[in-house]
Amino acid sequence: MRDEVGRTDMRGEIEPEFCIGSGCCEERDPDHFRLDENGIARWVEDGPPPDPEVLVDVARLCPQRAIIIKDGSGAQVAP
Amino acid sequence: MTEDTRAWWRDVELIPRDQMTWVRTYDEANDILKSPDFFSPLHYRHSYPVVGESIQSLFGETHSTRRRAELVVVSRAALVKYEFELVLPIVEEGLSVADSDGPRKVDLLDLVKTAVMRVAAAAIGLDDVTTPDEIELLSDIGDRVSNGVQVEWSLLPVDDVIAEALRAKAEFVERFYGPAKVRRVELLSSWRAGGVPDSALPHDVITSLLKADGDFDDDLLLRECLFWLSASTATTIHASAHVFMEIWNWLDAHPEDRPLFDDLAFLQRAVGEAMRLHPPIPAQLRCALRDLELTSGRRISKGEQIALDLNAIGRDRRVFGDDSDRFDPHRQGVSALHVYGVSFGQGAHACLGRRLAIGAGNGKVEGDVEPAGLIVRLMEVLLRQGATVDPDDPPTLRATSTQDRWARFPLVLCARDHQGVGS
Repeated sequence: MRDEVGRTDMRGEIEPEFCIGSGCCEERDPDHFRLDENGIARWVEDGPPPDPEVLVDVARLCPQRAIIIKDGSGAQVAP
Repeated sequence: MTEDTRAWWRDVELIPRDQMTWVRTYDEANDILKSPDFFSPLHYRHSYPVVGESIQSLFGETHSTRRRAELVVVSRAALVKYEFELVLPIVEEGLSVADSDGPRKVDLLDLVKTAVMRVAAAAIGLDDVTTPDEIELLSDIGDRVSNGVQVEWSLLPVDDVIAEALRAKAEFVERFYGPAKVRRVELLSSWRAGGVPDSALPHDVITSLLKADGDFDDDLLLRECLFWLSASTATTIHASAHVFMEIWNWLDAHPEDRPLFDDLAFLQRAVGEAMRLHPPIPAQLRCALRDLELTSGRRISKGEQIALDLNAIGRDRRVFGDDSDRFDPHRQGVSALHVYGVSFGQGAHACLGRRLAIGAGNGKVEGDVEPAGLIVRLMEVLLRQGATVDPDDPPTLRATSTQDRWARFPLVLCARDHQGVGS
């Protein structure tokens, strides 16, 4: 896990049908997660390079496990 | 939660609070609030006819479905609308009314009440809540309903409190809820027939739930609305007074921070810090659905009743530092996700109104077009007006509750516009 966490090409994918808008993701990493007009979390495409540890933290915090963190190859890193 | 669980709880009385398992550390509270293996045992007995099966007491798929249907009520667009079209104009108007010869005085509770009731009415979907009489009536109903919702903390006889809450419920139906629901049923009927576009539907609780389920049980919908009304009435008004007191004392003692009185990011962190020290309720109650072990190693048995001591949790030194009892808007090194600790809950049941009260951004709000939060906006306006606690008429607390609820909170406006407190 730690080797994978060290990568910088990670991104978050949100399963919107599971999101309940708790806002944990937006509060932990507002540069990369944002609640949309319907209150559902979205990945911010034009954010700065993400901090891998923060992304993993976001996936851990989501009460619905609706956020999946993947590396550049598309492999799931968290949760 | 299954019907079996619900039936089980209706037959089980809450044990006295001093016999519950008390949790006082942030990490254990975090475990419990985020776990699907606990549920809130409140609102299944005394207060059931008032707010039973409202969103706060739901779990699992039922909770997720209800919450998703209501998200639009607290969407970013809705928050911006509440702040810029309701809160700011109302507060500015309230302060201008106080603009007369001699010392200008205003009661913070009245000022916030007007703003909160207008926002609550918009969020629930109540029409015709604009005049002082209508606002006062809705506030009075909300107060009595709120007493019923929080009857476990009341110092008055339970039966009396619930009877009064049910009278308030009947008044709510007759004066506000009934007419509002009729209008929305008609609007949704036209929408389903293709007569009105989706954009014509208001983003409120009544419309959202009826839109999601046209046959939504009427008393359940009513109880959901009462929960929203209670949550608005019981929390923001009193929290605002606590927050003002903390910030006012801080700026008085730290003149170097006075130029920050209109810095929304600073104020958002300050509001969060004050909320950490002054949670809206003294404790959250939970019950375990199975035997389990917390990360700390503490074992919890199925059916064990737990009280999360929010005052102690918000002061956990391992998380908030050795000076956790002190208000410090510049607090560093906090390992909690939120500066406010767990005062708005955590996980799936995190308070839906949290972003409405303290905005989005977690202390990083930028610019003046983002939702900064009702309380944050209120503080900015009050500090800009040079508001101070009235030294000749200090705030007083209510004597009818174990909670820190204010009875009065008089302020003097010192005409220090654009200079801030104490400058």
